[in-house]
Amino acid sequence: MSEISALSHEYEASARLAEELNEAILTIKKSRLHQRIGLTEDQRKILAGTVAALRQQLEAGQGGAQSEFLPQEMVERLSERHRPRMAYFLDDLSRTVSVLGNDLVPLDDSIIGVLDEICDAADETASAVFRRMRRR
Amino acid sequence: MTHVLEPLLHDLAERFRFLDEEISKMQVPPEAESCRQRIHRLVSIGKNRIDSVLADPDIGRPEFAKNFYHTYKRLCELAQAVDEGPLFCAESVSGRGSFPD
Repeated sequence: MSEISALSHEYEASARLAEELNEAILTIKKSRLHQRIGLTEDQRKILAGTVAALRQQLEAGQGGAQSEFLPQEMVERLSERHRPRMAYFLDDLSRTVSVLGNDLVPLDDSIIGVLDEICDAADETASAVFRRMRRR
Repeated sequence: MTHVLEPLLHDLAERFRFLDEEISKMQVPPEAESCRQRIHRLVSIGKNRIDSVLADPDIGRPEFAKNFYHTYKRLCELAQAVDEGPLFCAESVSGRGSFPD
């Protein structure tokens, strides 16, 4: 794969993930604000799957298998940011997966905070890769 | 409440309307027509998305600012990619580009 193809692939993956997470967070925030139905059960399960895959990748570290839909640069950003307290972040991710997987449990501020943080990393990655693509 | 993002979003909506118009009237060889249509679809999606953000009643709420800013960034990237890619090439080839040969 050429460098530009690799960058394009990386951009597509990080931009798509950033958009999906952003839309989910907006839906959750709006449902809390307006007291209306938020994510569907299926949407919560998909989101839980994404967070679980991220957790697995962070726990495995650089030597572990890479997920196809999680951009490596995004995982590295989160890993770098949370290196001093990785165990706590992994716990936060586990709780997020558990809460998202149970439709009866409401999504509180801490869950939104975790999702926001993953979304920020995906957004920063998409922007950085886009800038690199434009320089080619 | 007017949010700081609103003027930027209006500006981007204008940019998408321009791109939509330019790409819809772009003349390309038959073999490039499917590509033109695909790009036009992407631009239409972007235009509709920015219009829906502008129509969102929560746009002025500070707690949503970061999320709408993320949406704005992705749409900016799409507009820039179209502007500097297919539109720039087509205008250069047709002699309508801003840069001399």
